[in-house]
Amino acid sequence: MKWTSKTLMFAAAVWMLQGSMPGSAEAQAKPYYEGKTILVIVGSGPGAGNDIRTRLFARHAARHIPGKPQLVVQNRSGGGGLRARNYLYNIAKPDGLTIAEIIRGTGLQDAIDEPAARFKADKFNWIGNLTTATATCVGRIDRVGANLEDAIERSRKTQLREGETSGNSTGAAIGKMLQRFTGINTRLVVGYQGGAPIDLAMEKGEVDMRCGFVWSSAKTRKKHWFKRLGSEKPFASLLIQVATKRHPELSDVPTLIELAPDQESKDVAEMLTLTYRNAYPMLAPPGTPENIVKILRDAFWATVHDPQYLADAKKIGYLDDEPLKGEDVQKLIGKIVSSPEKSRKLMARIVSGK
Amino acid sequence: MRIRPQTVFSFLVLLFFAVVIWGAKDWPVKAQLYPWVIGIPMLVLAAFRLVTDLRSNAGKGASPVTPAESSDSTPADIQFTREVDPVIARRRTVHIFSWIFGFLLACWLLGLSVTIPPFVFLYLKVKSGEGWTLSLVLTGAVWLLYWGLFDRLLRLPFPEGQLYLWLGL
Amino acid sequence: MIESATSGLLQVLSWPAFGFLLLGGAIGFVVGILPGLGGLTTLALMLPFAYTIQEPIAAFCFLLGMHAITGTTGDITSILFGIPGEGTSAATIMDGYPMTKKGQAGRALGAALTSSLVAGLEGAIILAISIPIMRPLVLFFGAPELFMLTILGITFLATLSSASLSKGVLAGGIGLAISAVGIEDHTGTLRYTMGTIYLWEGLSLAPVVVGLFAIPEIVDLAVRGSSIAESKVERISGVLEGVRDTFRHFWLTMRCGMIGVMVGAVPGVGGGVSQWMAYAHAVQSSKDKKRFGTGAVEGVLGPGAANNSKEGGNLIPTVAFGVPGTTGMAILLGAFLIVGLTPGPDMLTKHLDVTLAMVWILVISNILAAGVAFLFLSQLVKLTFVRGNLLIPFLVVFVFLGAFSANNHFADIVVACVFGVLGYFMVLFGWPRAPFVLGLVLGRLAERYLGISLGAYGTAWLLHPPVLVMIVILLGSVSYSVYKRMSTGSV
Repeated sequence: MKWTSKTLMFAAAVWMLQGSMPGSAEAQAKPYYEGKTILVIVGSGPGAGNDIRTRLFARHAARHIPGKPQLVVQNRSGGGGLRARNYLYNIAKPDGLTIAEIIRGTGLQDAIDEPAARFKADKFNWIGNLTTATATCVGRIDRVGANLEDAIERSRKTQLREGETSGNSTGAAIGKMLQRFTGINTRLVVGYQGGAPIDLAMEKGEVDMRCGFVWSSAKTRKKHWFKRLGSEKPFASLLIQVATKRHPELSDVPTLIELAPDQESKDVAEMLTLTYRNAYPMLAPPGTPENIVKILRDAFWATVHDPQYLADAKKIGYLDDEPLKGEDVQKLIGKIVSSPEKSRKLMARIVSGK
Repeated sequence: MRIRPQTVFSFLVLLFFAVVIWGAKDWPVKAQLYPWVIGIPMLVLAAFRLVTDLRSNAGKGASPVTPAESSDSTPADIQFTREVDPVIARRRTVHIFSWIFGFLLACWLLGLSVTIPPFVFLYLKVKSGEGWTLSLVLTGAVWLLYWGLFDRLLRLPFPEGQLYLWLGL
Repeated sequence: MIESATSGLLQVLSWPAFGFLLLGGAIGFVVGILPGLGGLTTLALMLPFAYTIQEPIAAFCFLLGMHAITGTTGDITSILFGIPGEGTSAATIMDGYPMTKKGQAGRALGAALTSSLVAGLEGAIILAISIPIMRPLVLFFGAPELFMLTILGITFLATLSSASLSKGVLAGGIGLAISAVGIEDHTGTLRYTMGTIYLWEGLSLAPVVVGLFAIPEIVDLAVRGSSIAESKVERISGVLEGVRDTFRHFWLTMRCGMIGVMVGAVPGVGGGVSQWMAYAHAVQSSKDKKRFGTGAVEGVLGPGAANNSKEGGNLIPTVAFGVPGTTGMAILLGAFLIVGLTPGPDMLTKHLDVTLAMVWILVISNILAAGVAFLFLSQLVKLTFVRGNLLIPFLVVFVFLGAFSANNHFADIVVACVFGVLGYFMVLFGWPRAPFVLGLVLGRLAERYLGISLGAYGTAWLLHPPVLVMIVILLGSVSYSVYKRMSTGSV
């Protein structure tokens, strides 16, 4: 037995040693990634939107990394991405062989001083962002009317019910800001297991509206809901959008930031908007050598412009992605975590669910 | 009065519900409601259960419980074997639990990859007294299955041993 | 409709689609049998092949065929080794494993596979029939109706406590209480998370069930020091006996199949519930409840049936609304998108042939799985005559791997061991484990649906006609069973 475990430990030690010397002379002679495997951790369970998306990315990325490594995707769900973030920050080796795709929220959790967050969001090495989601609030046309003004007017008579997954979700945060900014009379109905079940609850008439509805997904899944997508019997209308500037197809729909009445409100609205913008970001542990971060960032950018990748992405309904470069994500995250303390406190209150 | 082990178990169940209720005392009402709606009636029932146990302990004649209640022979679930002498059975039970928890500890300290082969081999060779050939062949089979299927093919992210992290390897 | 059905069948049987069905089925077969190897992990791993396959029906042949067969063969492991092959196939252990110990493994497997096949076909047929009413059907079940369904399920706790009502209800209560672990939806309160992120999303079913059932069996095997099967009374011809059992209890099989479809069609309820509900029904409808847990064949037929038919039910909300009922279906939903299909009304009109092809895939893969399994049964049954000492290290390793692969988290192994100890003492002191699992799977759902009902309708939902009907049924069945218990005196 001793023989077995000793040999194994020796083998393990050799393997670890190899992995920990990215800058060695040997590595410079041939591409660093040659014959290696990159582990891509997904911070959600299998089948989630970002999981499917990351697996698609992993399929095409190898071609664009010198040395053509293998990419392997693993799911580590838990705590809304918190488990994966803590792992990547504190345990994963910064050798470029472990990277992750963790759904939006890394910056926000850091900014509001989430007690269980054991990371500094701007210390991660951000590789890029697969898609910038334009989130919206949508409502049943028969309950909210045609636009935000109608909805505010109608909510005075009958309170509108907003369906969300939980009281401290980012979707609920949009709703609470909307309430704060416009005085719309809504109440939360929570407990749904994701976006699709809330859509279904709207169709059942159990709730009247929801926030955090991603516009690009409407174009593949809910065409029959909207007049502007060619539906003759529209079911829903758009109240607001969460974007830094109005989406070209939604030029008549106000953004959350536009509605903010004062500077503090504008700050929190911007934090949330940037959080949504950074929808499916990819990141590497802090301390990853600069040359490797550059390889990964370049490969990311080349992959998201690869025609084969785009063809596959289009097929699963990602039509207007507008991916972000790693450098831009880094700036965006920096902006979220360096928001004024007052607005970070306000944000913490809004997302605390209380 | 001698306390039977099942009475201790009933007491632990009572304690469990007390902890469930106590743990929720500072929560907002919406979070508190569910644990209390479940916990409080269950606490009462657990107390009833404990009293029943104690009374069936005290004396058979005075016991108000039905035969189904006091004898544990009515199936509602599987039954453990009764054909082995209780003393031997207890010793074997302690042994197998020690093996399982020893394995758990070793997996945590050294990682699954390093622990699985020696565990299988030791169990076969030392605990069960099998021959060298059989022990080695079966260990090899487990290792191959683990390594080929779970590690190579499925790429499950088995954590490294905690010991390596402590030693900073 | 007939036209689409024919076209669907022809497309499934055409090349290369049928080849993919065989390939997916073969993978699913192995994955299902190996304890510890989760069907979900494999399904997620295989999903990207949908990009390569491109053609929708061929892709579903591969993935849905694999998924359907995993469920069927998962029961085999539960019956032979007392280890759930999948987190969802634990209920088959209750009576299947005792049958194996009595040397009736062949009969138990025959019964499980045949009921699985019969109910799988039933599920497929119901899926086909319900196509025209699928959307209204799903829309009819709002949160209040679903809440009443979970309450109905919770009352089964009492049914499953045949020996002692107080022990059974308390065991169920422990399950209900443990289901509270995790983030509370309304306030974000961290309930009983003990300072760990691991517990934020509550305990996963798979490690709990694997530990609760497998570890006590391993202990018992070590104590007995013999093989799993205690006697060699039966030859493999017992398999045919199991087949006959299915037809002897044909209506039970059909009813449990129906339960599988109905529970499976409820989004968010997950695969774990339907098997236990079916088991509870099998116990409830039997005259002699005391046989359950000692190897009653009805206790195998019920969960066996539900395990397969639930896939048909699961497909209903997935196809009609894109709302997956289980994680497996969530991954299949990914396949929908990859091959360019949009779940929703189109699936029932423009792409009806694809929807019906899925029905055919369920039918054909079930028949194939049962057929192939019957060929291997005699080999598999032989394993139960292997000395326990040789099996134990394998079983322990598989329990660990099975627990781990649920979330790829080491803590899941610890959870399995902790619940293994709990399961051991429960069995030792005669506390039934089935109500515990039922409480665990239903508690969170009940709280959630109640929260939604109150949030959406206040208390007015209590007056919804379907809810009123269900309240009446509930009160009736509860008072009937209390009356029966009073008259037999087993409180």
